[in-house]
Amino acid sequence: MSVGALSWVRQAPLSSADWWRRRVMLAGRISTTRVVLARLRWAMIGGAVLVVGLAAIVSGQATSTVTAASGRTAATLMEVSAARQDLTEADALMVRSLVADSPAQAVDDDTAYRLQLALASASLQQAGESNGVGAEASQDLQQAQAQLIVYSGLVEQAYIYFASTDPDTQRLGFADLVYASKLMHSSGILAALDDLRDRQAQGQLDTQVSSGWLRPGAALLWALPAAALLAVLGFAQVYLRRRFRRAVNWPLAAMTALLVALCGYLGVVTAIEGARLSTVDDRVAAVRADHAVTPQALPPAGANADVATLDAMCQQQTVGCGWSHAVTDLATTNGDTARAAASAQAAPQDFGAVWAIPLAGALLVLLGWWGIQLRIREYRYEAT
Amino acid sequence: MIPGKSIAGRLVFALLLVACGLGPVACAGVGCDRSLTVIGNWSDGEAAAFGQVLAAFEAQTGCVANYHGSQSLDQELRSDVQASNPPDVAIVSRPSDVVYYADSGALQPFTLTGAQSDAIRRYPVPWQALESQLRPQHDAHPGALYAIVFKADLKSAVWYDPLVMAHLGAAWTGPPATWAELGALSAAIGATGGTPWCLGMEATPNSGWPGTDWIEDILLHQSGVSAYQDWVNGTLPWSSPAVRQAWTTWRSIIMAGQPTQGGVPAALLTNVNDTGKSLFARPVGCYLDHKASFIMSDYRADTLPDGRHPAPLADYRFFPFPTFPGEPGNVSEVSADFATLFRQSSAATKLLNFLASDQAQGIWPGLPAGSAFSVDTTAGPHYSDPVKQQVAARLTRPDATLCFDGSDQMPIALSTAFNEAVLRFLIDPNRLDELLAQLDQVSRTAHDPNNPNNVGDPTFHCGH
Repeated sequence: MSVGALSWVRQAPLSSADWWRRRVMLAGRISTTRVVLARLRWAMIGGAVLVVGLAAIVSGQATSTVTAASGRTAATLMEVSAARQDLTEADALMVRSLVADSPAQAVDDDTAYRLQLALASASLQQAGESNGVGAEASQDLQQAQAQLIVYSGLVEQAYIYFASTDPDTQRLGFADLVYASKLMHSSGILAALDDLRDRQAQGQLDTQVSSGWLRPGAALLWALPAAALLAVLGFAQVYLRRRFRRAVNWPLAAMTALLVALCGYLGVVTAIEGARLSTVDDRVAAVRADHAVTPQALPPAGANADVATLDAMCQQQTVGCGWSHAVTDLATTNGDTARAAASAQAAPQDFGAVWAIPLAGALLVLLGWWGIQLRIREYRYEAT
Repeated sequence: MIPGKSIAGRLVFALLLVACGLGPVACAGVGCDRSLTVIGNWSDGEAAAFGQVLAAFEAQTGCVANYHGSQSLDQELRSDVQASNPPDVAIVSRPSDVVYYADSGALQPFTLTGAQSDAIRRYPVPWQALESQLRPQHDAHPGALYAIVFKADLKSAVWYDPLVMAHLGAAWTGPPATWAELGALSAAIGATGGTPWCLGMEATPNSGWPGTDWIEDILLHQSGVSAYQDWVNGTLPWSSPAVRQAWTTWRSIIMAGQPTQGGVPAALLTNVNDTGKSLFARPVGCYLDHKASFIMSDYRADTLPDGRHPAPLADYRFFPFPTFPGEPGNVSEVSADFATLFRQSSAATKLLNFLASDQAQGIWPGLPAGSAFSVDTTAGPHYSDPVKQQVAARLTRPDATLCFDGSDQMPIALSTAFNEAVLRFLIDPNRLDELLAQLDQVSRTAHDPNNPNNVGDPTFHCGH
């Protein structure tokens, strides 16, 4: 090359057009290193965002499922189960109090009946406030509550009539007793609660317990992208060591460690929440088993015509035979329900996931960007 | 690759994805903004029959309708309305409740469209007159409807087993046409040692209403339409001679000869739908059953000693409630189930239009085991047996005088007191005057315009 030609390069200031032509020429000459670095940066940032986003979704869904199941559905289920138990016993006590031969027993049974009825009403009220079931189940609850008002009215009327000395009036009382007990046991209050408990609430709890968000398969949604991101991080370390002769890229190493820790944290949290939900399910089943009542026959009718009539109607299956149900230890039953309810409602915890996951995500993005940016700056220095 | 084509291709692909995703949603129900809640007092077999009607609605429109049946419909509906959480559509059987909810603003007006726009005009004249009363006292929407008659029943009917009656020999000369003939038949049955009447008063939570049907029917036929209307509207006292006579007439007919099987106490405990068991028992438990036409579905579900289910005409028939001297013919007590709107929505309006349609009007009446009747004369449901055809004929005669069930037109408090009084009267008929005085007191309170529970005090008339 002649000096004259080189003198043009070294000496003449570039015109504006020539300056722009030189910039375009340099830009068109994008090196392989620059491309790889840019792609690594976006792959790691994008991968981090994807992992964290999916982890947040899975964790959020799992937490909300556990919260709904243990905080609302299980609570509703147990309140309804308790109400059903209380009403079954209340009806048996009511019948015994009205047809019993012993006045003292009648007074005790009457007092116990009113207590059980009040407890049942409170349980139904609480079940409604738990709002743990859908609209159709709420209708069952409203139906039971409306019919309970009718039931109470019939019973109060029966008490009034039975208190009369007129035998004809007492027969009206006996009729009201039968009407009330039928309303309770035959296609009435208990049937509505059974539908609510067994079909609606239990069905919903079973669905929640078997929710896919708590299964190991749901973890694959964030675990697979996390594995891919780990692979990218590994490739980045190897590439950067070869290209820039650095043993370890410490920001990317920190990003790797943080990612592994995040995966471990998510796995542990999911496993714990799943275990807690299973515990809730087991406790609900145990409470329901305790509430299952074994029918027992009334004492022999003897000269008691009312008892004889009730026995006959029960055998003919023209009534629900509510009076044949045994009355369990009320204090024990109510205590078990309370303990189980407290246990169920203590379950939901997210172990800080609501802030831990976004924070980890922000750190991952920052470390990934920083780790690559250091090398990009170094490469620009080399290029210039 | 040319960028322009790539972008256009991606846009087209995206649009296709969106269309494929929305297509099924669009086809699944245009105008079905949400699933509907329908409430009624049907359960078991009747609920299943109504379920077929709703299934046809869902198939036609894509809208979802969920039915909820309740024995305590009155109480539950009032609670729901008070809690501002009413159902979308309610099937109500008391005309007084329709007017009550319309007056209180809970009931929504609606119009029928398309082929159903003249559905009411297809009713026989008596039913048009009855339907016209189902609106608020102060009607802000005179052109709209507040209820349609979904199905109807004949209440002035006495059912019997023809084979059993034939065994009475000379005592049975055919269905009695007059009250005197019915009285003679009852006495003749009693004389044989049999129990003339099937009585079942238990119908929790409204036990006693079968007895109110008796008294209403007797008053209507014994004292005439005018007296019946005055009594229903509270202007004829319960203690008046006409009303009192209806009660004593009832007592005398059911106690003719032998008491009811098991005595009056057994009648209090027998379910209203179980009287057929005695009718079809062998030896027969009772011979005559005063019931509305919906009892046929219970009859068909019973079992004869030979294992068969009772068949219409062969095992059960009916004769119209007998006439009293001087009574004009073709007067009947009826009842109905009204479809009403509580929540406005396009889906709910679709449902009401469907329930008024020929298709819906023909589904339940067309079921062999069902006992529903349409008052739509052009719907043409195919009634599967001659007994149903006879009932339908009496319900849809254009020259008939039809009166709604009396207690269904009374305020709920009075209706409840009426049910209770029937039970107390059965146990101790000597207390009749006391009971009637109490009913007068309840009636005065219920009809008192200053009573805050008295939203409106409608005046009902029979349709003719």
